[in-house]
Amino acid sequence: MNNSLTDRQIAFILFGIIVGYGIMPMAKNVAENGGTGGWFALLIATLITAIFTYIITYLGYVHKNKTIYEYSQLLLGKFFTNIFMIIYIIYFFMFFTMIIRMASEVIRLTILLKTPVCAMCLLFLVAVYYAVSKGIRVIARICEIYGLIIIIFLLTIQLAIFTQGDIINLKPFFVLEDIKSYIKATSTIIFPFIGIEILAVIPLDKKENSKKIFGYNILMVVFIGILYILVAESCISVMGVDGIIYYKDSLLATIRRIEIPHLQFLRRLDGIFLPIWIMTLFCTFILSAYGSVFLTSKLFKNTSHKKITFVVVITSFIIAQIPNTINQIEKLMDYISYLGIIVSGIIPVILFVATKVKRYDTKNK
Amino acid sequence: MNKTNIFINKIDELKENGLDISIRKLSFNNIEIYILYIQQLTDRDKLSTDIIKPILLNKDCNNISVDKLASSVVYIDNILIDDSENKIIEYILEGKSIIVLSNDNKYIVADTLKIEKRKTMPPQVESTLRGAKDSFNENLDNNLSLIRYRIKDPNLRIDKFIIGKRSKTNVAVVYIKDIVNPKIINDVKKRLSSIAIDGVFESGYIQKFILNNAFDLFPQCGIVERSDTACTNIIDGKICIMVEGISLVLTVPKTFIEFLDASDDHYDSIYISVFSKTLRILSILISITLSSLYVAVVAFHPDILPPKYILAMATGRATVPFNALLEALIMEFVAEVLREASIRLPQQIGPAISIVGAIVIGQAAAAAGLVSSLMVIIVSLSIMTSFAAGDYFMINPIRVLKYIMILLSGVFGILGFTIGFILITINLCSIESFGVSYVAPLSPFNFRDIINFFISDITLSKKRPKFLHTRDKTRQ
Amino acid sequence: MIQRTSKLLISLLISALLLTGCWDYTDINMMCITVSIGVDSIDGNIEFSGEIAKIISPTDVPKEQNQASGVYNLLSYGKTFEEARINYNTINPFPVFLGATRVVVFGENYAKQGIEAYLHRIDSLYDYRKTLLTAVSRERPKELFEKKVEKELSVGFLIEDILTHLEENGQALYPKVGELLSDISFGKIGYLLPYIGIENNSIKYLGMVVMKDSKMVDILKVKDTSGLLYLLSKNPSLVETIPSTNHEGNFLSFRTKIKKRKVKTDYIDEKVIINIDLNLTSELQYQHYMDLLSDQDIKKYEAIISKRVRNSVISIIEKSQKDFKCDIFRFAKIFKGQHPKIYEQIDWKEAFPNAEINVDVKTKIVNTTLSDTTAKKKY
Repeated sequence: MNNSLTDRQIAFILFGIIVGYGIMPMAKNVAENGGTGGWFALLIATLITAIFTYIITYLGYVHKNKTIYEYSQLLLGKFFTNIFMIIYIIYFFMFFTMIIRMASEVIRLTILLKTPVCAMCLLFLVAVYYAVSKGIRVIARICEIYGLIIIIFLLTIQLAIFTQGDIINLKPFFVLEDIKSYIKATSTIIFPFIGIEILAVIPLDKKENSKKIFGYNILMVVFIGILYILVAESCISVMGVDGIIYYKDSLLATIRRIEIPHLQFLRRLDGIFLPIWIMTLFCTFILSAYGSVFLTSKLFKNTSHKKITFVVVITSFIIAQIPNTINQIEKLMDYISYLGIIVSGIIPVILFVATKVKRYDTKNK
Repeated sequence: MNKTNIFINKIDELKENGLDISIRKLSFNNIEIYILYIQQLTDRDKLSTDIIKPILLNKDCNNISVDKLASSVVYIDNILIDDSENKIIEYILEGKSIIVLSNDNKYIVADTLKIEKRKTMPPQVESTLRGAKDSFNENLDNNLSLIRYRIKDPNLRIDKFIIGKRSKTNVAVVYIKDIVNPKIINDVKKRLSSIAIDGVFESGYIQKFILNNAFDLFPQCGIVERSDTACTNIIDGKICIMVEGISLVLTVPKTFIEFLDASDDHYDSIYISVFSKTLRILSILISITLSSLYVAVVAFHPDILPPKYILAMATGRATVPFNALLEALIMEFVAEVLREASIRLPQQIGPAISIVGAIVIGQAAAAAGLVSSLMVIIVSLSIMTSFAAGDYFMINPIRVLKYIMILLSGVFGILGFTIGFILITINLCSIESFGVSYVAPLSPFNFRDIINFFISDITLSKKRPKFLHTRDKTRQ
Repeated sequence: MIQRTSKLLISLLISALLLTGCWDYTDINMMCITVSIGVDSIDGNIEFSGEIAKIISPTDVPKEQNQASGVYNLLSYGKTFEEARINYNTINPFPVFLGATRVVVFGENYAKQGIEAYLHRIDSLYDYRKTLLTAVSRERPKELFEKKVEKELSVGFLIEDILTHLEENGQALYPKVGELLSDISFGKIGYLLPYIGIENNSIKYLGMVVMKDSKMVDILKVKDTSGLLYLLSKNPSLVETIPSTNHEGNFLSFRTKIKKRKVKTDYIDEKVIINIDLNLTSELQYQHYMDLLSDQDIKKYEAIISKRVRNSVISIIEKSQKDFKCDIFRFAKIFKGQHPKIYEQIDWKEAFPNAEINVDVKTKIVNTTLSDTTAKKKY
């Protein structure tokens, strides 16, 4: 009946792709760079993300039923568009490949000690292939359903962690003299926030999506920011700023440190947390994989969607096995986050300016 | 005159055909009247009293013609006059009687159909406490009459199709014209008319043809046995497809969450409705996930549980020779064998099987130390919850999926369990039942519909579910 | 074509996965479930002792038993943790499962040398829960675990249950490994561990042990710990027995709870000033001999209780400042929270022993538990 996505589905897509692997080491990064006042850096990052979300949503809203491929061609011409497309494809592709590898490593080190990493990568990729081959509407539905489940459980778990934490660990809340270091810290915690560029590949329809979509998207980004602050603060309250900086998987380490005796059976929360985390990872994977498949299919117009998905998935598996050590993976992820700034910040701003300049062209059409 | 000869030749042909057609010959004044019918399909009392008797008693036998017979003599209510000799066999096979006159080139087709059918009986597949107990049976007219007397709306449409080259089964599509979404009804009609098959004997065949994909796991048409449920669905904006010869009626489109609905909820208080619906949802979840969770926890992550539980599980399994994965698979298999056996057995032996099964599996296996008692509890809970889920036809995919989940969590632990769950969700989300997303109203999310589903109170749910996109949006 | 090859590949892979083995698959009854672990240092060697649950039921025990039927002890030596672990892997039939461990007991020798190394080992082993209880034992842990207990299944269960119910009543502290690790990483503060010993042939909670730099420096007996508990316990609920002022030989028993506990820190003249305010509520449980208590009596007792509590708090604080020169009350965290910049400049280890600490205790006797102490007999 409806061939496009509703506003809520788009907001949940945002949630699905942004909240993913980043929540695991986030508390450590926040504590390391910002101390107890690190939440302020998160706040600044949220605001910046919100601004860029507005820009990208605006682009999609003004150019109805067009994705970045079409409207970038309209605004800047074929040459620049192809360059942008290649950057985007590489970005999306490396994004989900590296996260799959990193997440498999984390899972191997924390819960399944002997399972080889390539087996886990394969499992993830099979699920990703199955989902992406069904198309964006199915992906949007999955993200909507999982988004609800994830939000409910994640909030519950964080509040439970808070009850076991000590508020003295969170003080001082804000030190005015350190404000420069907070702003500097923003550059190190970009990784949990990237993902908004997925909006560039989703066409907004005139009938289904009204002006409310701006409200939904920005509200969702703000909500994600608050969720992140909650996660970071709850981890710090249990482990203390000085202790948490040694743990790369800070959220899981925190959950393993607490026990809630009143919930008899579910006393140890990591059994609930791990499936939820895997679900959030999964939403990130399929959205990012869909982004790369979609743009690749725009470049190679003749091959079918399923064939491209298959090729992308196989290539991803091969490339995911290339780095040998976790340090290499982390470096790659740093590069990806810089690429992410370009992709979600600079390119949309260029297109936004171009739209505004040529606005008379597009609006009067 | 010419035509009559053709008819007479046809009659001779039919006599030799082996179709078991009976021919009754009456004669008046050199005019011969042949009545052709098949005994097994004809109401012979009606034939005698309403056709043969008035013809024989007709004093005015001078100018007997087909028109005169049809309009003044014969008593039957449903009469047709036709002249094509090729259609004679068709009519006779449909159960009609043909009256051929030797001086006319037309013939009368009289509807004297009578076939064996069950009386209207209580439903056997869908049981209920409070709803109406007259269920459909195999006769199409009977079923249509059950619907007609409940919905007296002039907009109620019954479109008939004939499907099946050799069986020529009547299929009726029932809907209310100004409620239903026109796209859906056109789609259904198009698909029905494109079915080209020899014979249709069950609504299941129709179900498979009108759906998209033979490999879909989950059922996308609802199966209705009771007439009040069918009428509720029709009023809601759905379409009912009735097949002659089978008492189970299809309703289209149907979403996942509607399989968890039982009509009893609508008739009782709100609290019971919310409670039973929550119970059913939990039952489905438990029935898919319990065994695989057991395998994942026992074999991969026992430290998720508090220490006392770990010790209890370990001592329970101390004497079991199998490992947890094999134990789970074997027990589930045995339980499935029991279930299949109890469906297929004749009624006299049925209860005996359940006793044997309970004793063998429950007591003896655990006492012999072959399986741990915890596993027995888990398997029986898993079976019981699958029965509690509501609609019987939703259970079948769950039975299959359980094994996949057990295997996945047996290889990958809690990661496999989550991935299995994700794969099932992807499958659910990708099904579209005639354009309606299978997981509506969860996604696209509509809070009102979810609340209405849980509360199931007719006074509070004023609008029809949004995902059906009906023309008439309000119920009240 | 792609569809078919992809399906073929997937099915091949899945069958390969299942046939090559589930890599991490080990049933729980195929593991040695340790119930408690003891660490000690003897002659430069690390000694691991502990208890492993017995789950193979002997043939004459009824099969439907769901509790472990006992424990057996483990003992192994080695120069390092890893060597000791290898040594006991060589005598155990199954790999060790540490997820059900309930308590870690350190011997006095080892505690004096420093337990930080073992705490970090706990942190890194993935199935070791960080919500473990830790304790220090007076005797060697080996002797402790070899003791036969009738009260519970094993020594580990007994120690944990004793400390759990004492902590719920506010009469002891229950430090978990996670909390210890955050204290260690904070630096500059010490922490307390429970002290267990064998007395009169049963295992007993003897008091607390002070750990400075994760090394044991002092022991506090149970009766000296009340001041500590007022400051550190989550909801202390202690009983004070006050001799009666009116009636010689009569004692009144008051149950005191903390209503409010506030610590304010300040930094004046290069000196750390800590102000502790305690607001207590007290209930008269009973009197040894029934006596009349007027309102002035109640006020007198309030003053007495306040004074007593204040004395015990001050004595423990002085002890920590003078004797072991270590901040075991986590005042450093409060100071850092209130004056972060100053905290960065001073060295808390030097500043704490010279800090000026003022304690103010106010008590209110809220009720005399439904017994009427002002009632007079008629005749």
